[in-house]
Amino acid sequence: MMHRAALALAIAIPFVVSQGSAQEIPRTADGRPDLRGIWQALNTADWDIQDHSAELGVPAGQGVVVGNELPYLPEALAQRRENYENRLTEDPVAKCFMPGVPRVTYLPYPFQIVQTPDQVTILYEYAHVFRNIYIGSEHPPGPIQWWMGDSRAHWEGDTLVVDVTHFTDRTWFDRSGNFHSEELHVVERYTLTGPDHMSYEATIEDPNVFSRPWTMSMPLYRRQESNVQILEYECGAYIEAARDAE
Amino acid sequence: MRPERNLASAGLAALAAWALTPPTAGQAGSSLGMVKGSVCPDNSHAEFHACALEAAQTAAPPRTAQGRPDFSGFWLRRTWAFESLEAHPVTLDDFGGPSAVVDPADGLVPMQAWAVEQTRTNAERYLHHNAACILAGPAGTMYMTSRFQFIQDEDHLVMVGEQLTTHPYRIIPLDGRPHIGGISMWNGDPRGRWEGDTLVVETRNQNAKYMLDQRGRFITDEAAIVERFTLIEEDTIHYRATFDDPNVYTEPFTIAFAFRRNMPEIWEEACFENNTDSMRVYRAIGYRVFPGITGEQARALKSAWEAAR
Repeated sequence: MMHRAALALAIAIPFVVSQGSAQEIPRTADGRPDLRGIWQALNTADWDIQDHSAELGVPAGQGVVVGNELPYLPEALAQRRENYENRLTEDPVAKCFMPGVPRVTYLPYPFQIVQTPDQVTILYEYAHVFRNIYIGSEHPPGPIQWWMGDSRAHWEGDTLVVDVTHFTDRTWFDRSGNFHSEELHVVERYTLTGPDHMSYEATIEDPNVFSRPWTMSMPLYRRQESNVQILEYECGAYIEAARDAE
Repeated sequence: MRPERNLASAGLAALAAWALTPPTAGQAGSSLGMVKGSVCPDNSHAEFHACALEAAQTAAPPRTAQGRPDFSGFWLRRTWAFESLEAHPVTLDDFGGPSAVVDPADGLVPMQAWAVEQTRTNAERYLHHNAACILAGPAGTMYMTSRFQFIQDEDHLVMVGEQLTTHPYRIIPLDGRPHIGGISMWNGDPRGRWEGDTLVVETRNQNAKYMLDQRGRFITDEAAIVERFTLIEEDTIHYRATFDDPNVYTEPFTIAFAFRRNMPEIWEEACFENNTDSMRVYRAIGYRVFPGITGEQARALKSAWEAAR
């Protein structure tokens, strides 16, 4: 009956829910949080990770950046403004390129997580991008420039902490032109806060672009439809078909 | 210029895959080699297929906690069928190899006469999907992609791939759920079920916007594709795919080949991201991406072909 009492408390005080300590979460045979299933972010971060007003085709949104401020270095801020001016054509995702990390998480497409004791693999509906997140192993030596980086993870209690490095400088954080260099280093934290909710945090470090590390934070939601499955969004194929029709 | 070959990078990737499996002595001219210690050699798809059918009778595959054969692990596909499903020689363009077709027994794809001509047209006029970094369909993914990891739990077999393609993945539900409705996709809507120790995967809703091989062979969106995966020993999968498409073929046909246990890991394979300049060149010389042929289009093409005789 302890659980029921804790659950009642959690419902009464939402803050407790967000700590993830009181709710029952699914677990794997080896006792780890079971992250498997189909998940999706539900926010406007893909348009702009910061607070933004609505425009034609752009829903207004509260930012996902903790504190809302992005600590751009002065030269980088000029680049970010130029990106914004050219965002409709220069956004890498508008070109159907791989979206990078963490942006792939908050694209408006679902993703499926599969999990074994030594690996978490995330299969994203957008452009059949996937990430193999190897647990308990080292990054391969660089220099390597990958669109989705190289992901290595460990468990800190019930949180999967993913260290991502070896990036290109060719992805953006959103459609508004927030960007990074190949020195990007991302640390993601996946924490189940209940059977159908996950807390997702990504700490961004890039000494070429930002004066200090900063963090994004958002919930992820388990898709509830009983028949939900990952479909296809074959972005590049649609672009090629459109160019062939020109 | 042979646009259906995916460029130098793909060639290098293929060479790397080949280097992992050097041919044995006496196999000069063939890029397929004998795997030491295997119950079934795979220099010939047909011989491998016959041997594998036999070996499956007494196989003791690794098993999951639920007692099903456990396909988890890293795998290397052992065929160059993506160049041609049929036997083809080594050339500057091709690694070459024996026919992957095991049924019919003559190793020839049983094409209808009109489709033979259409195949030639496809190869001459259109860019192979792989050169445009587009998915290869359910079975095509298995013989175009060099390296795979299979991840299996009680409800799914997931495959992630690398080399020669465009970082494909497949999610095959094993939980008996019904097929989806009218949503068409390159890799279709697969469902897996167990027939004894063989995993049978039936795929619907594939859009056929890809060629079956670089010779321009094709199916329509009405084709039924059934694949069979059998572990004939710990380190070898006997893979079969049967294509049934009365629009194009005189009878169903089946290809077969081996997957052998391989080294980890699967890494990123950017394709589309690096392909913009190549696509500009292909278009400049008149190529368009193969748009696929629907069942309806196939019947019209066949009628037109027959009327012209």
